[in-house]
Amino acid sequence: MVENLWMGFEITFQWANVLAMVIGVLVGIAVGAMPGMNAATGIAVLLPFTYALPSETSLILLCALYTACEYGGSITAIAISTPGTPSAVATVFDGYQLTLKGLPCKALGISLYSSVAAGFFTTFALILLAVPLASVALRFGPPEYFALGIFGLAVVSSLTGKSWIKGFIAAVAGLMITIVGIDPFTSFPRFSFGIVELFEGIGLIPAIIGLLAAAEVFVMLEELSPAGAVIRKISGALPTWQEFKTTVGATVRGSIIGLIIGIIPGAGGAIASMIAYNEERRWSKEPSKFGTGCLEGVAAPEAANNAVVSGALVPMLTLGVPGSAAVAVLMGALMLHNLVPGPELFSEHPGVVYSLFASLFVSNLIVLVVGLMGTRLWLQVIKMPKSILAPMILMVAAVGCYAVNNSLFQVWIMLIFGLIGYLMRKFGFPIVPMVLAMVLGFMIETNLRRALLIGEGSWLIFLTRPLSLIFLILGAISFFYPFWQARAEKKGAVPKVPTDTTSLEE
Amino acid sequence: MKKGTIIISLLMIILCIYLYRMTLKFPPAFDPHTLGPAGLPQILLIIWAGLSLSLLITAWGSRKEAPLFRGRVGLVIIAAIGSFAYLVLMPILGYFLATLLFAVGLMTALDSKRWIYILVISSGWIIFAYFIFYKLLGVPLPLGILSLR
Repeated sequence: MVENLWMGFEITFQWANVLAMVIGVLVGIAVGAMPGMNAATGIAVLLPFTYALPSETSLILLCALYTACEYGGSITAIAISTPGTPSAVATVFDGYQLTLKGLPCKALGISLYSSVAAGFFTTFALILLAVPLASVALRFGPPEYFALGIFGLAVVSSLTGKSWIKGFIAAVAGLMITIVGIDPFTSFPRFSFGIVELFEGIGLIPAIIGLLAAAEVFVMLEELSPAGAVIRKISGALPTWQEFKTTVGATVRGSIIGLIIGIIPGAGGAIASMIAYNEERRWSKEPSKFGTGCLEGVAAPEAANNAVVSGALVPMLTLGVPGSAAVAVLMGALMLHNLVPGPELFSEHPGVVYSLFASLFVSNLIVLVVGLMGTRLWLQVIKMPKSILAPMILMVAAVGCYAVNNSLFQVWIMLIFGLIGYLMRKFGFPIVPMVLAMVLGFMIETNLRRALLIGEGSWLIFLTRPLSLIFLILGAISFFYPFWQARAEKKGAVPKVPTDTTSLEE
Repeated sequence: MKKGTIIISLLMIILCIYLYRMTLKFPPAFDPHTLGPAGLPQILLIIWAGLSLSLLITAWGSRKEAPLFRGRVGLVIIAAIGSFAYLVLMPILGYFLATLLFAVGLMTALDSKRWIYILVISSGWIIFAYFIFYKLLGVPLPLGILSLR
């Protein structure tokens, strides 16, 4: 393995491959930062250009794009509350709050460091543990996917803010939103009201951009002095060493969560980052600071979404099964060069595999350099007056939502959800539970029904499969813990910790 | 907020009842071992209606609270109407023209008097969108009246 890895580095540092990585990183950051675009889109756009390139160079270019894209999504998430990719949704919760406090470069810096650190850590894991990690992926069936979704959703009890009733309503409404569209089992259109565009369901990206970005624009405009800047004083200071040290734990935990979830086909960066954020908040000694501009709240989801890159490569390289949509397109690149993804790739084309591993290390370094250089550039966007910034956000969001599937209907969805999000904030309904439910809802329902089919109608299937049982128990603990804690505080058994949640609420 | 919360709760209960009635017309499950298309929606709607009722009762018994809309709500309304008009005009005028009008119009309506700044940013965005989204990424942005040329 060491010899192969050395060979991989030799291939990676050929000038053509270094150039490919630089181009991949620049394009990846740009694609990731644009709402509505994601790594799969970026890879698909560059794929035809790689046909004439050697197979190693093609893969290196596309993997560099994939790596950089996950970081790129955090830029607009932090700067203007508009997640560039679905994986960056959880980054908005604390990242944008740091921007409102005048500390955008802290958030961007932590996002960058965590992404790069996670990239390094999980690339090591990929090299050393690809085969055993693949066996984990094989254990996941519909009951496990359902239980994982419930585990992710269970944290809603700690995200409800001042009113748990309103928080739960938001979560249930979020689940209902994912039900709109053609039922995948019976092909029956549910709640489409005869609108053809709703047969595909309510697009996740437009709805989330509406709830987070467009709603934020409306709130921004309601505040006084619209001609003033968003933030009066903006600091260009990057995180200090002390601040970086406080996020190391969150980065490690986020990386592990992202790696494991990345291995599971179909789970993806959005779910990984959401669960990483939830877990970091759950185990924090100060959960109340999450949602108010907490560095760990940026580090955990960013580490997770970058860790998904390596995780998603595990089943592709070992089993020939794509771990994510982007990797599925990447497999197309392999096939273009007559390479068959799967275990034979290691033995028949070690140069391709190990140069890919080596390039992941180097690409992360390039992301670090480019990211640090670009941080000041994003400061200029944030310094714009509100009267300019607000329409800009709406225009960027509009074209991003249109680009999702070239439909104006998605832009209407974004605008409607923007108004819904604005009214939710006015009436004290938290948005985070709704977003969480929307990300997890489809996975929960489809796997619930599949699992019941496999179990011939018996709900015990969720309790008789070990992984499923573990996730359900963890979910139950997550769900009931805040209520237990609140009761214990009332009785004076534990010190009172404020249970108010995100300042996304009014 | 109390009055608003009571109204919202009532509206949500009505919505739940309406949607639940819709689910009664959904077909049954294709296999008796699993939930049909109406299974999870009905469970969720019952929970939602129950929570809304709890909210209604809670709000009814609470004291009067501060008004919800305290800032420049007029600007929000302007932005919302402007955004709706933008989307209605987009298929007619095309993305680029509609966006230019929207950007200039809304920035002006939001009290900005920096004309040069507005025109530079609006034009800059149009040029960026044209070259990056329309040409490079191949996103078929509507051209509207520009396509008649």
